Amino acid sequence: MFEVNRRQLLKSAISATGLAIGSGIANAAPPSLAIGHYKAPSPAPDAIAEEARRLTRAAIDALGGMGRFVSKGQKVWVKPNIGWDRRPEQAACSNPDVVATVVEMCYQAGAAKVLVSDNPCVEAEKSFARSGIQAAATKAGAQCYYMDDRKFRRMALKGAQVIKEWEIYADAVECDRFINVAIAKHHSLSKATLSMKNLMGVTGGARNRFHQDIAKTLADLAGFIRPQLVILDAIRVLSANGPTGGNLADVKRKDIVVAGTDQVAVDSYGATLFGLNAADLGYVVEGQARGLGTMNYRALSPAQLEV
Amino acid sequence: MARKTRTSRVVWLRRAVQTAFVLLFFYLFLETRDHPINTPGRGVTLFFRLDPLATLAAWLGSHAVPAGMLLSLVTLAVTLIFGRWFCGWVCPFGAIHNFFTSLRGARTKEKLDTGGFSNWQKTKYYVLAAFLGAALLGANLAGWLDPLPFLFRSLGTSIYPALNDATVRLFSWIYNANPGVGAFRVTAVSEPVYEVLRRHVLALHQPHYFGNLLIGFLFVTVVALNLVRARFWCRYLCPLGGLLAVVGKNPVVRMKRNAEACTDCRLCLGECQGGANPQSSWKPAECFYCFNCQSDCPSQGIEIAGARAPSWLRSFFHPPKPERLDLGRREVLASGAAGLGAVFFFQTHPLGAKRSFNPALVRPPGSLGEDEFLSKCIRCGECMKVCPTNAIHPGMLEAGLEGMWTPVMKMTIGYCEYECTLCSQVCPTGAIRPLEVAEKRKIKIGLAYFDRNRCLPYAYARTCIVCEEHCPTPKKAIWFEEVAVLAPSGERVTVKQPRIDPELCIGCGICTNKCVIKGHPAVIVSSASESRNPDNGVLLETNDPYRQ
Repeated sequence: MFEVNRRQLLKSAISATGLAIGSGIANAAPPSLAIGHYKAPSPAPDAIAEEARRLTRAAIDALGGMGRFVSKGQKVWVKPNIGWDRRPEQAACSNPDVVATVVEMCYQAGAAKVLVSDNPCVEAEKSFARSGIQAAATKAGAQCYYMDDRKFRRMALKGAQVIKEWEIYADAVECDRFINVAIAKHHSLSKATLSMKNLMGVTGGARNRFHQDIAKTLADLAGFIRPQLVILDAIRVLSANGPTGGNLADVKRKDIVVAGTDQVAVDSYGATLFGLNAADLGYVVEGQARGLGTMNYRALSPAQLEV
Repeated sequence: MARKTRTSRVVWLRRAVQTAFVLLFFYLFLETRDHPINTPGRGVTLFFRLDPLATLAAWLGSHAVPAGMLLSLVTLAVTLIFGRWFCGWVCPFGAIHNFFTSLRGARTKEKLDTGGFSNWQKTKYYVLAAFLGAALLGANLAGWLDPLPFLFRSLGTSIYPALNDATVRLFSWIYNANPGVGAFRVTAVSEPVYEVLRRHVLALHQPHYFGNLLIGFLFVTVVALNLVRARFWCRYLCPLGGLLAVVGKNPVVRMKRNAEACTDCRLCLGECQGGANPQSSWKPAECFYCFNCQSDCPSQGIEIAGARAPSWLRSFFHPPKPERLDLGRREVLASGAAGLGAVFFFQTHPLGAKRSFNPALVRPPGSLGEDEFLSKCIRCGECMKVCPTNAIHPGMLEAGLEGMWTPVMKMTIGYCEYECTLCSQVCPTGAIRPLEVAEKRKIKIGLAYFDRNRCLPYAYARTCIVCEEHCPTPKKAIWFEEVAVLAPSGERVTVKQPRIDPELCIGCGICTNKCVIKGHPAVIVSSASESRNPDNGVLLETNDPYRQ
């Protein structure tokens, strides 16, 4: 588990108390789920970048700040969705400014090194560049480069039911902290790609077989990786023809960024963005059954932020 | 025999220039990749544009070449003055042959006995005549032996992948074994080196090409032949050398042997690269202007110069003793006719006659109609090297014998990246015409179909639709129907059975590539419906930019 020093605890307690007072709920401990909504969205690219930064910062601060998750000198793996050769406005990859903000906050919390990468579904050179994530993350100080084929190691996935052994990217396991920065989008087979589905990006091998039992394999992965912090970018949501997209008419503005410590709860909330219930997502149901988190995200008294 | 003199400065200069061109060639080779997004390195086609054979062969068949290819006229112009300087100073393949010739351990006596002109050296002219004969009727075969495409293709599809593999294995072995002494680990040095190599020299993913063995074997063979004869390829086989020899057979700058100083020691012949007989009657068409003869002459009896200014001009307009290649009219005509005649056989093959289309012959987007494509493609392998997914391979017989080593897409290895036009940007002859991304997205290179006997939701009642997930068209060309089917357990399960919308499918093949069934995937792209060959069309109406 992560360590929390006294000052950070104090700071997060104060901010959480402030939020709790603001939202009218008396709760001393920082919440484990925060849902940030942007009040005044604008279609201008600069405005969206600003929105992404402010939402991300607010959502993480509501959880007690990055200091709750990252300590001085740690190596942090940030896992955005860089799955496709698509521009940010096509909403197939995580918002680059959300990613960059997470990277910045990691460094502000004292991280020694932040690594940002993904094993995309198409050519890495194109998706890293087109998504804008490589440029934004690099500018924020992260090391963002394509995965190295040598570093996929066959690992035993403890507690797994389907993929008991699989090729996993070594850096993603050997880091001190894992932060999942997913985007919410449509996916025909699993109905929605959210944070747990995003973990497929640290796998190699014949991962296209996962579809044959997507619920269990994603639960296997989620139980193995167990990110300390989960961010869900729902600023732009690809509502159809996902996960690739490409048609701007399929992209809906939701102007939401979610931060949480419970990946099942984050995805359970994410389901509602598509008019679904958590119970409609097989992997979320499976995740709760394995004790990875709760589908009843409301029970976590999420901090609802208007930014 | 006289003592060997010191290597002259002009020979060192020539070696430096050759090295520079080889390095430039390798650099441009490595630059034939994506600089994200969708931008190949600059000037990567330079050497093909300097190649008059590629230009001539493409022009003879198609009567059109990109303006950039006219750079090869510069090569020809210089050849008029300096003869086959290109072979001796510029050609990177020539330099490689030069290098391997220097490894030849033959004794001086053997070199002197085998170094002179042989009538077999005329072979290259007959090869040239045959290629040009075929090119006249639209079969551009010159790329088979044109040295620049030969070198690039061999490097790209065979040698480089092998070297890349060897390098990665070496560094991976160090990385995994992590040897060291005390606190020092070898990886502390090897990993930073590997990272630099990975970014600038190595391939992002290990490339694999069908046909690499044959291409590699031919390459190694012609290089090894230098141990039999100095610059074997350049002397006997090279059709570009043949063309430059025909054009430059009466060069202005010539070798002169000072008969008074000459002691007939024949040392000049020993290191003569072209078999140009410097010791007796010099043959300018075989001379590479390597200056070895002059450098090796112990009595300074050889001069290579345009002489003094007045005679320089004189010799330009009235070349002394017009050279004859003595090829024999009959032999040349027969070679040309052989090339020409072969085309009739190609064209009466069912594929050549367009009576049928090979479903496996899927060409890169922007490829011209098959006849025009074959008249222009020089099989250089630029498209194969630049393709970021390793989808483009040197074909074997997919397009008939005349199409050997032309680009064929193998979707089991790679796929056509939706937003990518790299191959169309690097094609030196326009066989793959330049494309804008917006147009490329709509070009059909083929049409996918399902093999329902293999596809999981059809044949085995299992969920999958990985194909649908990856389908890149904004409105997916793969759709599905939810069907309740009987599972082996006896239960009824609902699965999503994928289908193709033939209007939307562009044949990119990512479905094939990502299909869980390897080797013979359950979804396959055939060339049917390809935009470039209207006769191979399927649909009554399409939104195809070629057919509007």
